[in-house]
Amino acid sequence: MGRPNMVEVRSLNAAYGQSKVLFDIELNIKPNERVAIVGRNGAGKTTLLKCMASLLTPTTGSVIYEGTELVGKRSYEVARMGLKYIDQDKHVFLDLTVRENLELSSYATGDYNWDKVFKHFPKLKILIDRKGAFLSGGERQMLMIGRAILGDPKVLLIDEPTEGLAPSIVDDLVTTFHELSKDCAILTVGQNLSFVSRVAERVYAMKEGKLVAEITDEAEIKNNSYSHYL
Amino acid sequence: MNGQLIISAIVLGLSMSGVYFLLTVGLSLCYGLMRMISLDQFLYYALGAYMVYTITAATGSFWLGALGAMLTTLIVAFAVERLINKRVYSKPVMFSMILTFGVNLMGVGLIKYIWGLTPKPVASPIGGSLHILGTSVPGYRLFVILLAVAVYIAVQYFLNKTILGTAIRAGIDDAEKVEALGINISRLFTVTFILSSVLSALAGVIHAPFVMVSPEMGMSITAFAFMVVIIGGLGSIKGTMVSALIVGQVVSLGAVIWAPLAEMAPFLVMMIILLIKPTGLYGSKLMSR
Repeated sequence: MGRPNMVEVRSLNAAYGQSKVLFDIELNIKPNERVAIVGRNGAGKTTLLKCMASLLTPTTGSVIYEGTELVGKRSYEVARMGLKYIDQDKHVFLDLTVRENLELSSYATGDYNWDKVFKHFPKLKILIDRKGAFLSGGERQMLMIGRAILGDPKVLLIDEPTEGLAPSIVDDLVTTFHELSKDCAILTVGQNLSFVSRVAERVYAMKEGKLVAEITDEAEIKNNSYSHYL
Repeated sequence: MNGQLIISAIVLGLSMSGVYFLLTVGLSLCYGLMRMISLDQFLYYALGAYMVYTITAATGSFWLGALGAMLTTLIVAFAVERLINKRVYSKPVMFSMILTFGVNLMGVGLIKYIWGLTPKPVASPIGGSLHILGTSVPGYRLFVILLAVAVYIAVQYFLNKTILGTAIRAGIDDAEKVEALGINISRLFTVTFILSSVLSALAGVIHAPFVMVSPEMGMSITAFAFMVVIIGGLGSIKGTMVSALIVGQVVSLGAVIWAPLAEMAPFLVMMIILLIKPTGLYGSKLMSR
């Protein structure tokens, strides 16, 4: 693992008003790596991802992406730099068709090559004129990832990707994550340990706003033997 | 009640609907995208009317005045948005209401200082009339109706067929997620605010020949404008158009039936519609954020 870090989170703290949520987070991601953060509800996983994507401003600490400090930058700048956030609520723009959703991402990134989207998610080509409001949870997840990979991001931050999805769709997502990681690093957060065991090369365990363990052993990840940390 | 009176009232109502629509489409867009109640739109409405009065008086051309009014408003709105309004986008809606009400009051004060308190007349740029079913209908009123329809089509085209419009529609749904895609939402806010303000100015321009241009003209139309926005559903352009048609006709036909109805009936209609559909005719749950 001699590769340099693509993303480094250093001494990151965050709070909502007076309520402190993240405590001295230290984390790194290497190019094309699949990393997962696991933890219970309220552990601070989503807050951490949002801080990394500049959707929230941390109280102290830094997020370094390819040598550039991201704290203080606007979220659209971070997205354009190649660090994309996909949130957990499966929110696509409901009044917009699949085509319009993709057009927006193309407009933002200047990348109009939709073939790579359809390569990963051929179903989106069939659904191209369907409005977001009429897509299933799995289809919305496809569209959100499809939107995000336009512009060739180097890091995808994917929040709870399996939440509310049928097991067969989760299986497809495992394959998709492996395929996507050929082109970019993935940091995903969630509570679905079975999914994590199948996609992650490295796992951080998070509890009450702190990263309490880093698991790199493949066998430990496969067997979910880190669950006692949570 | 004779037929000619009814036809006159319908045409009058339609032209008022045109004014209401142009004025309220901006309010609706501003709330939809930025979640702000932009009370300064009433200032741009009055500014449009005063600028068309001034330029028309100086050049003799109403059309040049209309163009000048919209350009002036574009510059003023840009300055207000960049210097003042953008500071409250992330704050609760009450902040934007108070702030933009302050901008409105300040602007009205400036109007009084520059143009004085005496109401100003603006001559109708289109003379003559057309006969519809034996009723003489002023040509300018028909022009206002057609202009409002053209603006509605143009706004719908902009929102549905251009990428900037698509981004605005997406932003009305969820602005944060538009930004997360890599789109500068702040620029989108500026474009939307300027578009809204120029349309408000256009409302003032076309309304000027119907009324005497006065500093308080923005204030006096506020209640009707809010009725249109609320009945139609905040953030919906189609709703704004339908609602403007309803309010225009209720005011106009109400006055024919019994004069006090012109003031009362729109409120009654609003109450009934809100009792049946609290989000307004075309409002959706999307707007609850």
